[in-house]
Amino acid sequence: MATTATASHTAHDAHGHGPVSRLHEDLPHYSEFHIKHPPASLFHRTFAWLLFLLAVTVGLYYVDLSRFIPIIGINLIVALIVAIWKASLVVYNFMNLKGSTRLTVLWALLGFVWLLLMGGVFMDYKTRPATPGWQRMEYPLGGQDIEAPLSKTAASATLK
Amino acid sequence: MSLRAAIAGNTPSSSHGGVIEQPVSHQFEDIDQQNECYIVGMWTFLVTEIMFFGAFFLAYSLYRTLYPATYLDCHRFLSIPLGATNTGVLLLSSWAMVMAVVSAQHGRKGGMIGWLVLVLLCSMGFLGIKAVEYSSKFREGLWVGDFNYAKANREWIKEEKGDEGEPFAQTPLAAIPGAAPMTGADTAKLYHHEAKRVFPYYPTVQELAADYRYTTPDTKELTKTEAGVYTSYTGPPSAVETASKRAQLFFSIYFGMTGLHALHIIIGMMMMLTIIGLRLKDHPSVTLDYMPTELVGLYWHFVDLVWIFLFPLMYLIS
Amino acid sequence: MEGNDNLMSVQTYDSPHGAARSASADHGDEQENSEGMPRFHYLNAAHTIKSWLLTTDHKRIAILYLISISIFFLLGGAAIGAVRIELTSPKGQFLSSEAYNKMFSAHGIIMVFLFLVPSIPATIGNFVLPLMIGARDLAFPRLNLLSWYLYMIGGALVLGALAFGGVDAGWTFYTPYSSVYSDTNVAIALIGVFIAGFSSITTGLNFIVTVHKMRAPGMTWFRIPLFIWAMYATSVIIILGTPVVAITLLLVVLERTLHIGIFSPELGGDPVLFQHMFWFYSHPAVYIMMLPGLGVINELIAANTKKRIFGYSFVAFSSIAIAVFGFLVWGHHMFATSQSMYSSMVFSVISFLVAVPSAIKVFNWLATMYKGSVEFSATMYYALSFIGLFTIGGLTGLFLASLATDIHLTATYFVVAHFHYIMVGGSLTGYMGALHFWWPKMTGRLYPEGPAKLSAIVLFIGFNLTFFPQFIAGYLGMPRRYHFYAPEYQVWQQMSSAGSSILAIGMIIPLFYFIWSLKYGKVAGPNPWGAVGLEWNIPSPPPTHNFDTIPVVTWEAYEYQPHEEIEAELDRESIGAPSSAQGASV
Repeated sequence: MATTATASHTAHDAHGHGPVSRLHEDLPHYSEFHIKHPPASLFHRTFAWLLFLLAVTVGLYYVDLSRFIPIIGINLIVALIVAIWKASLVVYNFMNLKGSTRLTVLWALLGFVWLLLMGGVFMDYKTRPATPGWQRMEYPLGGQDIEAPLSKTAASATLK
Repeated sequence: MSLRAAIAGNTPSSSHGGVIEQPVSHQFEDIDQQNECYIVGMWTFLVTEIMFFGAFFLAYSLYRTLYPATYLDCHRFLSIPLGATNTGVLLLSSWAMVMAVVSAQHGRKGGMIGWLVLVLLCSMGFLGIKAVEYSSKFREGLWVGDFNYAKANREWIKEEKGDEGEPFAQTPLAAIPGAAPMTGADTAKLYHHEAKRVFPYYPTVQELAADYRYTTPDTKELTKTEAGVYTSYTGPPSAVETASKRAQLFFSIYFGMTGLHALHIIIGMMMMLTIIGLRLKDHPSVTLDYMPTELVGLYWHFVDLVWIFLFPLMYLIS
Repeated sequence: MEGNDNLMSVQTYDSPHGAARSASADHGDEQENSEGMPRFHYLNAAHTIKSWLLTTDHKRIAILYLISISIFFLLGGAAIGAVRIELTSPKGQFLSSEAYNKMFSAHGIIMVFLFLVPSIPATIGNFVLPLMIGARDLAFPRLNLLSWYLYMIGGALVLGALAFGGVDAGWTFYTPYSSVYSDTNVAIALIGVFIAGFSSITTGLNFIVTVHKMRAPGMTWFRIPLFIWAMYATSVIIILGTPVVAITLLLVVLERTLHIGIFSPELGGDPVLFQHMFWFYSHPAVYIMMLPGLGVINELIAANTKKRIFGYSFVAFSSIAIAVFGFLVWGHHMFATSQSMYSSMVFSVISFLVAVPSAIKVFNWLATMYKGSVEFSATMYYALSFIGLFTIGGLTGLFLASLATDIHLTATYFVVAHFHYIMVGGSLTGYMGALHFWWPKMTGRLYPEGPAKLSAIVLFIGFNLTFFPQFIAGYLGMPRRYHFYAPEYQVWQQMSSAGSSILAIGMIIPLFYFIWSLKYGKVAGPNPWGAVGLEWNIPSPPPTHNFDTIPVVTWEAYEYQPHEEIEAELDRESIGAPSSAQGASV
């Protein structure tokens, strides 16, 4: 059985939250997990920027960007870019991702990245044939005998 | 440790930039661990909310790619000025929220309550504007369970165009049959300005009806001949009927998403009322620790985030 | 944020008085009563109902979960008992078809959402996770309590819906039947599942933060037990997946109540979109149900072979790989729908890949057992039966992952047998093994070994007799969820029903001897198995504050042999004989 590190000193520390081993206090402390808080002026600047970007979003709606950049759906793409920019400002500044620890940043980013996985659904819908199977079957006029085999040639051959 | 000392120095296990000294629970070693745990925990919860709304956004974007003309058509019923005002109001509330957190960090009771009240006012304003929008939908006949696209269309024509007969004053695309699927070329024409459309573009009824995928046949009863053979149904639904059904799909998503968002606003408001109430009573959980306020703040910013995406995607379709 | 001023005025048990007592006393006679059990532990720290219902102690919450989960398990088992009796005859026995549909739906809903998803995480995980990493509690104890209440509320709603009218849409709630055509209590059941989902999310959240931030000093990521790796991966899946099913089920509720149709084909919606969104969670959900079981087996094998798990880092990474890859394969439940051929092929390929990490675990266990000092205790019986049954389940999954065979086998009893091999043969066996393994730690008493081994054998025999014929019936073409079936399948269904009665006995026996052991079982002491792990260094049952002093961890996980000896052996290129392995001294 491996030995455990013994710590005989079991006093409460200043906060009174229970015994802590003495050796633990000698270990490097959590200084790198310090959360830093920005000055309030950052928030004012961010808010101003957000309002400006909102005006840009609405304004762009009235401009036909495909006049300048001939890509299908360019308006949508630009609107999304502006929205992502606004979202990044909110997340980075208001939600203090800027001053957060690495673990927080990891989890915040993971959520947004993971969402993209749901795009796999598009893989299905984009690769479906243009007309679904039942539309490509030939059902002759006058209906189809339900006993008949479901094949294009057989159906049109037997019923006329 | 005295407040003065806390303001002055960064003693090892003091609360860092903020001024108040936070108590540490029994399961944590020090305040930094506790703070980080709470922030990470809240972000983890927000990740679940991202996936929650994200799935709804998925349904939205899927149907948008399947039915682009419908989305283009239906968004004219949504009021852009009201939507933009709502966005501005929410951004303001976000800013007020973060200022409330700053006040909490410095232990300023009046500031904290004041800013939180501002957030509450903004959110009530948001909900009020939402109520106005919803009631106008109700009047127009675009409400859940009571959907009447034709009526809404007529109202819109009256408002926007006077009393003209043809609802869509655009040149219809040539030779699109009533129920044929749109090809890639047609989609391109829909969005490209070369067809000399007025911008923003409103589709024709034919284009709307063409905008379908995988329609199942009309579910009117199949007639059975004496020989036991089923004849076909009465024909594909008319163009207007299809457009009406598609519009109902759009509005299902619209009400679902904005309704869910409004629900989150209400939950956020309740949390803020709780914080305000606790602060007024000088309850130690909010006087000694700014973390509850910060966590509510994170939630509120997330709600704002969702709206930042909802607004252009729903209201500004072009 | 608890401190001494509590939001809820909850009785906290880490009062300075209690801590001082344990801090000042030696481990002498005062600490133990006449029987040898510790005098003060979490179970007798307070005796009122309020102290149980308002507890924030993770161990008490685990016991609360244990009791409620067992009740739900019995109810789900009763439902399938009715089904199995029905299926002994091709024309049914005593249920109408509507009632039959409600019975198998009840079984599915209860077992998946109310038993399998929370079973190991909420009971074993809640109890053992802080102990294994040397923490005093989870990161958010009150959130933990909230998770139990959410579970009870959700469970009550589901049971109410099932009892007063029933639900007949299956646990998969496919649209448009569930959203439009079914006239049963679908909406209430779905709201119950929604709430239970939040219980799951809060548990996962707690675990993630705890494992990241509250490990004992010196306990790096690669020193934590593999059970913790599995619990961590499970929690990640919970966080990332559960909200998707929450919104999906909520949309069905909205479609039923407000008639806003997202999945309705009349409006142009696609019912298959429901299936996409549902399975986007529900496939990772089966890994939520599976991974903790896999994690438990690591502990059982290590303790019963007195050896470090072979390929520790491979097993650790395989848990993460299962979590990640599990999110990429949901389409394999939809091969027979209008899902496009190309995406089906992609899903099929990735489904083959996702079997690899599970296989890595199995091979590593076998390598661990090689030349280990294997003890055939009851827990080892469970572990070994897990390995066999899980392997069969996993291999039959490959038949379903390949497109051509799946067309024939999907929606038949083959699928039913496949997932029961994984869930019952895997997950449930793991749960039983975990209960046996940590029972001495939870209660301070040993269960009787003889009946335990008997029940493991009875479970194994009954299980195989129940589900192996279902593979055959499915292969021969019998569809699942059918009330009336063609007579040629009757012999397989009868074998299956007979087996299920034996399986039930195998599940009931432990109920008796566990309860018996609470009063009459031998006192266990801190480490009855001679296992290595932080939880085995503290008394059984543990005191409320878990550790008198938080240990500083300087050793690797599963260090049954001191590290230097392992290095020396590897240098000598001779595998250590059992006698050189240090059996743990208690």
